[in-house]
Order: sequence, then structure tokens, then C-alpha cells
Amino acid sequence: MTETTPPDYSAADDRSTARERDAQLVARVRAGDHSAFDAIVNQYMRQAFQLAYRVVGHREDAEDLVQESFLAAYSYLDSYDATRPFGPWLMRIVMNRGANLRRSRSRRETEPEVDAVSSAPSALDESERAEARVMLNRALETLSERQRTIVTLFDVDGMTSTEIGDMLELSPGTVRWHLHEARRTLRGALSRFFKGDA
Amino acid sequence: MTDISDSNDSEPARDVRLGAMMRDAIGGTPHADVDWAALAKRIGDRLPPQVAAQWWTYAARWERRMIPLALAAGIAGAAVLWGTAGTANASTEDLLVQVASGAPVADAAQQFSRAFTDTSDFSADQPE
Repeated sequence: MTETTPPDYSAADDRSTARERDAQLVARVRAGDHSAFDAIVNQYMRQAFQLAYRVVGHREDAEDLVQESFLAAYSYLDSYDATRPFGPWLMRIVMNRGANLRRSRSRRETEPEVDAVSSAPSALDESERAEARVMLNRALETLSERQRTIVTLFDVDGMTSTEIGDMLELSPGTVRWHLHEARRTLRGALSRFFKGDA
Repeated sequence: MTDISDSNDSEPARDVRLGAMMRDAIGGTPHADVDWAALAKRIGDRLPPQVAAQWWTYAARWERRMIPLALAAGIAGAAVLWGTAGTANASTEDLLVQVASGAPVADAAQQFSRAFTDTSDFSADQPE
């Protein structure tokens, strides 16, 4: 059973405070303090998991991706520019590694875990829902990695364009543009299910 | 309900219908199924052990400053040695000239020592 719990977004913090906090933690890690990296992990793992899950579509793969991304971040910490926010830098690692993972795995392995009943659109019967799922998954595959991630974070996970922008280091306007394009593509692919919609 | 128009200065409304279809197709994010403490521990356990900084890392850190400093020190040292060698040679020649021209050996030796130290007075150590 899947359940969506509101994640603890660092974007909710004051940005400059978060940036200063992250810079101090990174400086401590660079000086050899492992506990500072634990603090970074606790700060960002939920956000990283959310993005990882949206990229790879499978909980265990997403957990592995989060783990690998943090380890990669630790290894490449010397290349991180501490004047910039840490979160988007980490999320780029998650996104890039997740995209590689997604490409390298078979369709079967990346088949998303579906809560098949609880959130089903009531207007569709079971056969239509099954058909819609297939068509929607195909349509989602045609989107760019970024658009697929944005539309799911916005319309499924309920994040705002500002939160997504902070996560992906994009302006809210750019996020909204990608969202608009992604919705247009998806609605076009699913037009027969949207007859009568404005 | 469904707002696929977009404006760059306002937050678009949720596309409820599309969102529900996507949730049905790909599911919500399963935050509640994750053991966060275990995940954090797995990450912490896999961090490479902290290695004490080796001496060459310090040397490498100071390399840019140390090379010009070492060059300057080398040049200064060479200049001092050059000057000292010149003085010694000159003083040796003076000593030989004085002795050859019949000056007392003790006086010539005293001048020779002054040329090196400028303060030494060998005769002061001699018993009277």
C-alpha cells in the first residue's frame, strides 16, 4: 500500500539560513566530521527520495538511488561550490543517476508500484482505467525526464512550482512552462478520456 | 477544475483529473513505507573512513606560496655566500701582501680576523 506523506522540504526554510547551515555542514564534512554529513542526509533524504521515486518509479530502486546519490555527493564534495545551495546540487545528482538507472533497467523492473484502487478516477470503469493507465504510462515515457518529473511532483505529489524550482534549481516560471507542456502532451495522448473537459 | 493554461506569474491550479489518472497509473510517493532511520544508517555505514591527511597534502597546499619563497631565499643565500667569499678572498690576499711586505704576522692576522668578523680581536684572547 502506498501512502503520500507530506515530505519535510528544506525549501520551507528560509533560503539564506538553509544555505548558511548547509555551507557550515559541508565545511565540517570537508574537515573530516562525519556527523555533519549525517545531518545533511537527515535534512535531504526525504526530498531526494521523492525525486528518486518520481524518476525511477520503484520504492527500493529509489532508496538505492538515494543512497548512491548521497555517497556520490560525499565523494565529489570537493567539487561542490559552497556559495550555492546544496539541495539542488544533490538533486541534480539524483536526477542524473536516476535517468541513467531508468534507461539501464528493463521496463518490467521499473514498472511503478501502483495503488490500484484507492485513487482511481471514479468516472472510469475498470477496463477504461486499465487502458488509461497503459496510455498514460506510454505518454509519460514520451516526456522529457524533466517534464515527467515536474508534472508528477506538481499534480500527483502536490508540490508548488516554487518548491519544485528550489529542488531542481529552476525558476518557478520555467517550472510552470514545463508543467504546461507536459500537461498538454498528456492530455493530447489521453484526449478520449477528457472529452467534455474544458 | 482542469487548468492547462499557464501564466508565468501565478501558480496554476491543480489538474485534478489528470492528477488522479497519474496517481492511478504510477502511484503516490510511498514515504510511509520507507524506514528513514535505516536508510540514513545505510548511507552512514557506507561512507569511506576518514583518512588522516598525509604530509604531502599539506605540502601541496603550500606549494604555490613556498616555491617563490624558496626561490627568494635561495637567491638571498647565494648573494650572502658570494659576498662572504669575496671578502675572504680579498682578506687572504691582503694578509699575504702584508706578510710578504714585512708587516708583523700578528698584526696581519688581526686584520685578517677583523675582515671576517668585524669584531673579533684574537689578540685579546692571548695571554699577556
